[in-house]
Amino acid sequence: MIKFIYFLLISISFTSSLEIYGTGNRYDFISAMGLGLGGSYHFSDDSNNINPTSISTYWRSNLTRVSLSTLFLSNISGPSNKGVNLSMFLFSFPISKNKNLTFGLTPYTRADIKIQESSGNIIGQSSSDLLPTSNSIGAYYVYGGLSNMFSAFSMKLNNQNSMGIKVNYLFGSQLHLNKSTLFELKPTFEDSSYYQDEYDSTYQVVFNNFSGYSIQWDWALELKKHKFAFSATSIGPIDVKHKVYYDLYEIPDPIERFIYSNYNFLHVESADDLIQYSPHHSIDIKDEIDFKTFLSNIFSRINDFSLGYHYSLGSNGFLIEHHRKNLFTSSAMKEDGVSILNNSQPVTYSYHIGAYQKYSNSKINSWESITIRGGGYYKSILSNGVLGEDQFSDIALTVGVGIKFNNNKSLVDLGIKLGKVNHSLFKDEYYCKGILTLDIGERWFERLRRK
Amino acid sequence: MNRNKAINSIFLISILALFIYSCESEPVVIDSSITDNNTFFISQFFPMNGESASTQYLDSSVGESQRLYSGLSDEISKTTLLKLDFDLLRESKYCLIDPNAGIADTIINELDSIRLVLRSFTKLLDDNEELLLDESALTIRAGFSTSPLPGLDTLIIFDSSVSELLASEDLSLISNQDELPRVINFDQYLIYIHLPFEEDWCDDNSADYIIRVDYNPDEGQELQYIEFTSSQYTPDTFRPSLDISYQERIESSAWLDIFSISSEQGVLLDGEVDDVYYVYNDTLTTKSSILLAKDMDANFNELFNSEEFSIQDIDFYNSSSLSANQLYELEIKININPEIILDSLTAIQFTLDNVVAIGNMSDPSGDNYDEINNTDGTESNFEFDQEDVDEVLISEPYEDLGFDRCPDKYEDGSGGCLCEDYINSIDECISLEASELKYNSTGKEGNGVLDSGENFSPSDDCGEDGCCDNQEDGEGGCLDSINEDYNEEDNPDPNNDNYNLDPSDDNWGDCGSDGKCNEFEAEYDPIDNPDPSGDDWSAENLSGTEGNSMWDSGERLENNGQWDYIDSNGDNVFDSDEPHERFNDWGTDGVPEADESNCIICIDDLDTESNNLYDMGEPFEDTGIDRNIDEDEEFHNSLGTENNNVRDVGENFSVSDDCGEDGCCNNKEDGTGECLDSINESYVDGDDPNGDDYNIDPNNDNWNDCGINGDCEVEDEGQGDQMWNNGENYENNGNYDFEGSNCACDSSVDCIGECFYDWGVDQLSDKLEIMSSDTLLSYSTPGIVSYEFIDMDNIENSLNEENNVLIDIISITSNSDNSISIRINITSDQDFRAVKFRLGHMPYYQTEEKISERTDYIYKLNDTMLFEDISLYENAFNLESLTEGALVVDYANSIGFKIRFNELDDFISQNPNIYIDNNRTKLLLNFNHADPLFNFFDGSVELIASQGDHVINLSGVIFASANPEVSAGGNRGVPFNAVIQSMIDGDIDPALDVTFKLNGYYNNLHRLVFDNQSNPPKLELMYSK
Repeated sequence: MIKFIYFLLISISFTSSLEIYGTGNRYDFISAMGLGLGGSYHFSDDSNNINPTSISTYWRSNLTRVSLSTLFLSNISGPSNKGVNLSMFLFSFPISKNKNLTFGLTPYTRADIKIQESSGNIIGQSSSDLLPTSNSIGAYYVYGGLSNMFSAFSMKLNNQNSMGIKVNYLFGSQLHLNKSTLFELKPTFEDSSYYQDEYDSTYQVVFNNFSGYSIQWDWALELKKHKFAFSATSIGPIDVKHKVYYDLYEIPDPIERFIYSNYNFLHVESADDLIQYSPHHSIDIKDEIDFKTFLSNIFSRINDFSLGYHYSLGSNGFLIEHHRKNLFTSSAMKEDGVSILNNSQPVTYSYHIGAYQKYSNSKINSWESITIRGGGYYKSILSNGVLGEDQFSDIALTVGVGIKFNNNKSLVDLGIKLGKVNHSLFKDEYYCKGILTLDIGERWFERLRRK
Repeated sequence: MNRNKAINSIFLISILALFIYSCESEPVVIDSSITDNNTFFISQFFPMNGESASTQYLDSSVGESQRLYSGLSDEISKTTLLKLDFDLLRESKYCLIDPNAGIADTIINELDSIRLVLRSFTKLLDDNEELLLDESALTIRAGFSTSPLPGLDTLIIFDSSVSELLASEDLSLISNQDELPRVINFDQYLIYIHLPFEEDWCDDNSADYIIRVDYNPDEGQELQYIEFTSSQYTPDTFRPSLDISYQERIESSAWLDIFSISSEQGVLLDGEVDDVYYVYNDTLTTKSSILLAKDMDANFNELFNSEEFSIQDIDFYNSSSLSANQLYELEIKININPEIILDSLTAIQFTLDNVVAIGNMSDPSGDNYDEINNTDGTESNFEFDQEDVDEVLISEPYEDLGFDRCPDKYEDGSGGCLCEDYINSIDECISLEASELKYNSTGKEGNGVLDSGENFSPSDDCGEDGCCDNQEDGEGGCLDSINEDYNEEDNPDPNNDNYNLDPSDDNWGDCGSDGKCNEFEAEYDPIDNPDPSGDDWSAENLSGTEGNSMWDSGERLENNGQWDYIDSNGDNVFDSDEPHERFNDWGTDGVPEADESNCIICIDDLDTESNNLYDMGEPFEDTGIDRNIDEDEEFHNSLGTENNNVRDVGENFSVSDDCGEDGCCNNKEDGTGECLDSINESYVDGDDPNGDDYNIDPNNDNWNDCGINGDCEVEDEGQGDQMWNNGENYENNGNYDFEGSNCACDSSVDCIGECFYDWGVDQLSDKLEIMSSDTLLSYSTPGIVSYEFIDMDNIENSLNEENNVLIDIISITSNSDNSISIRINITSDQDFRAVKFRLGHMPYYQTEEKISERTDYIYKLNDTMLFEDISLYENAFNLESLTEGALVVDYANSIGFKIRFNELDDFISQNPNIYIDNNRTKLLLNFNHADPLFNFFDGSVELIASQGDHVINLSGVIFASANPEVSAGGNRGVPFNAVIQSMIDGDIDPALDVTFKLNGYYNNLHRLVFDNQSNPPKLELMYSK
């Protein structure tokens, strides 16, 4: 089951303007409920205040729960881009009173992007004794990313305080298929211009295999109608197995290649396609720290943190949150050829606001409640001049609806956001994203205890 | 339960809905400037000042060379020396000889000869098997050394110890003696040397057998040295080897006939020799055939044993019938094959096969003429008959050979036949030698086809319209007279069919500053005066401009590789109004200003852009001053057929040019295949002294459908009507032609014309008619009868008595003379003409031992090379002749040079993972032809780079060239990617010198000098990150 879900997680991914950084688009660990509430991580409209993503709230449920979220996306403007994938799988169960253990799998970063250079890099006539005036134009295809398999422990500290600790195992691989094509600039003399004539190309395949972990600590404070939450994640050592291949052809044998006049490069879809080839060079890139030194550096390696406030009146309420992400970049990710186009993951600051109204149903054998949600967020992305952009933003409005049934044990949630990323390369990219979450709870372990 | 169903349904519907939502993404287009320089890069490196120098490496070995030399070079005598490790031979099968050894011993019975084979790169025999070297100057000596020699392959160059040792050795001279068989033989590229082998060599303790080959020709001798392959040569089968011929016992096997029928009274019919015939000649495939027939010719049995006879060949027409229901008893006497060891033979398995029984019918078709009973018979009526069957005329067969009754092949050219009677005595014709025949279907002279060696007159090269320019009508047709509109300048080709690749005549052809290639220079002769102007570039004429691979003033301009203009005002400065090739004034970087922002690897073009002057690096149109490439030049026509020097369909080919591959028409042929300068005075019209005339109808009697005048050149009635007309020739005209009385082919009647076979309109003679299934009788024979050398009387076989003829084996008994008698009964239920069958049997499989002569070709034994070899010569190279800084490589004298590139080590350390472009990472070198040490005007070499023990072949053969720019593998520069990759891999230190030498695989005597002054070496490195 886990394998199947992991396969779905990695097999279907989609393009975003944010995939040009780091190892691809960073996935927010939120459910459909959180998305409907303006991208909230910490809070929910649940009567028990259980949020499928906030680990400090898990202990509040005495049910064994399975949660499955599916993300779907479509661009409204800019490059055509749409797709669907599973975005989260959770399995959660109580281990004792007010204590809960959770396992899950979710994408961490994903890329599935094709990039085509527009102008190229010209090699002037005076630079070479052998080459004519030439232009080198690159085309890139990046596929894959990191996944997060985690386990979380949640417990109640006292009537007001609760906390959760989550250990994330980050793993996965990514392929960079880079093709540089050399064009001769053929001059024309009638209009003193030129046209480009392809005469050579080089094909580079970069295969990066990642493994590492991070530790997250969540804390929540509940004072009647007022709730406060905090979360911080420190990133541990990230190691990368980095391999580079050049000029892999569909037909490896050069004589056969000549006979069949087939000079097509090999289309690599996974690491399995590379097994029979030896890399031009390979290196195991180790992080500057290991497990022992991680603990002493745990604060300096804080990658994400967030704060939140929730005011609840029972059937309705509102919340505000502030998130900061990608604050730390591992040394391994800075190595040449690891990050996409060698661009580091940008730091993001975001502000979230959300509100909801719940309606209950007293009929038996039907749904128990329905919740309408709304919200929005503003995210500032600091790319520090990478790709010609110092800073750009992602702004979105969100709506959501959730239905509870099965004696409030199960939940179907849908969250949708309409947003805009104003990256200069994408020229005001309008998009629509949605998450559908199915959350099913049962009293399995409670029954066992009764027996 | 219902709620669970609802949950499941919602879940499934949600999942399905999401999965039918398709995924796609378009490429994102971004500017190249923000992709972190993912591109190709070019870097150039130059030798460090004062670091490059040539040296003679006296500690190196040339024993690893793949070539050996005997002769004179650089005024130094060189000797080829081979050392044969005789211990290897001594321990091999070639020294284990026993004349009495059997097969099981697997030992050689006798050693015949040992021959040394040397393979040379030098051509030793010309195409006429004439020796190209001076045999008297060749000295070959061989023998065991009295003191052991050091290893030759690893010997340090110029080590004199071997020469000193050799001086004290008394080696035997091997040379050809007039009255004795030759011991040294030559092939085009081989020398075979019979070593004076004696069997006691194997008992000797001497280990080293030495062969030295010296060649000391006179100065006037064209061939000054012989170049052999060495024991390092690849492929290894071309290395010096031994051909060892010996005899060895082997086992052979064969199928043998167990018996043959006795030649004397081998078969008797009822105790008599009459009416029974048999084949005792066991060389014929018809052996053991037996024929029962009555009243055959008296000598038929001899005929039966003289050649292969099938039943169709036997004429039973005059034989009598054999009676029905009468027992014919045959007694066959067979002799056992003496080659068979009887003790190993347990039985003979007899069969009766190949049976033919012919019924008693003399004229099965009933078409024989009989003046009483069959007056309509067409066979043997002495008349040529033909019959209309369903509107198809069927005739008796006839020989459609014309009145000469001779096929083209044997016609004598005078209306007769080279043989007496082709129809009835064809053997005489077949036995004629090819040289006696007039017929010649492969002759080239007069065949109407332009063959190799034949001249094609420009006056005939008028194109497919068959019309030369001045008569072309401008519409693809031809006028009978000169076209008045034709004009050499304005209208030179009215039908536009002239082949012309360079109408402006401005293509560069490296013909020298006189603008004329040799063949267009006055008094040119390919043999006696190949370079009338004396402007050919060569080792003796380095200032020659023809063939120097560079453009020189006076040569044409299109495609000369440089921008050209005409200095009309003679001020040596280009003015924009002077005629010139077009160029884009983009500056020395060759990139327009608008794109320079994308030019990451550009050298600043300063003020050379838009300066209205051509600057090096700016793109130009190498069209010549006319500014047209060939295809755009007026009257360019690559598909034209006029003046293309090829005979095209529609073009005439003059009979005077159709002289055959010897290019010599009959009247100048000398009879030996050569051509005289003038008319052969003894030539008689019609003769063909060189025998190359095309002649497929010597008597000129073939029907060609040429009309009633018989002349195909003159069109007339009946020509080409696919029918024979009176006046046309007779051979192969499809008619029976004769004059007066017609004549049968087998008749001796003297008649005129073609002959026919009087077999009737069924076209079958009686003896063929009786072979039809209607006249053959059915028969029955026993199956296999096994005789185990015990007399078998009254054998009872089961025969099918419903058949007409029964042939049965009655008894098999042995005779006192060791022969065996077999009695066979033949009966028939109706009269019959003949019975033929074969006494068959299962042959005997026998194995035997025999002596076989064998030859082994060996260059190694037990994976150890037989030979070590070296070229011995003294060091006469004068180091002082090296000019300072000169870059010299010379394998024979072990000279090389070293280079260290400035800043290359920093580059490698800063770019540890770059990907080197294999095709465009080159070491750029330039020949210095003018250096007195330079000696590389023909042949090829390959460079080797090394540092310490790390050696890299710079793959790409460098050919001698007049062009100073060195090219390897046909492209400029020497591939250097492997060296750079070794630097990246850490095998070569870029901070240290790299040494360059020549590869010993190629001619060792070349000496290359590279320019290190005006055009010093340059390393161009192309890579990507």
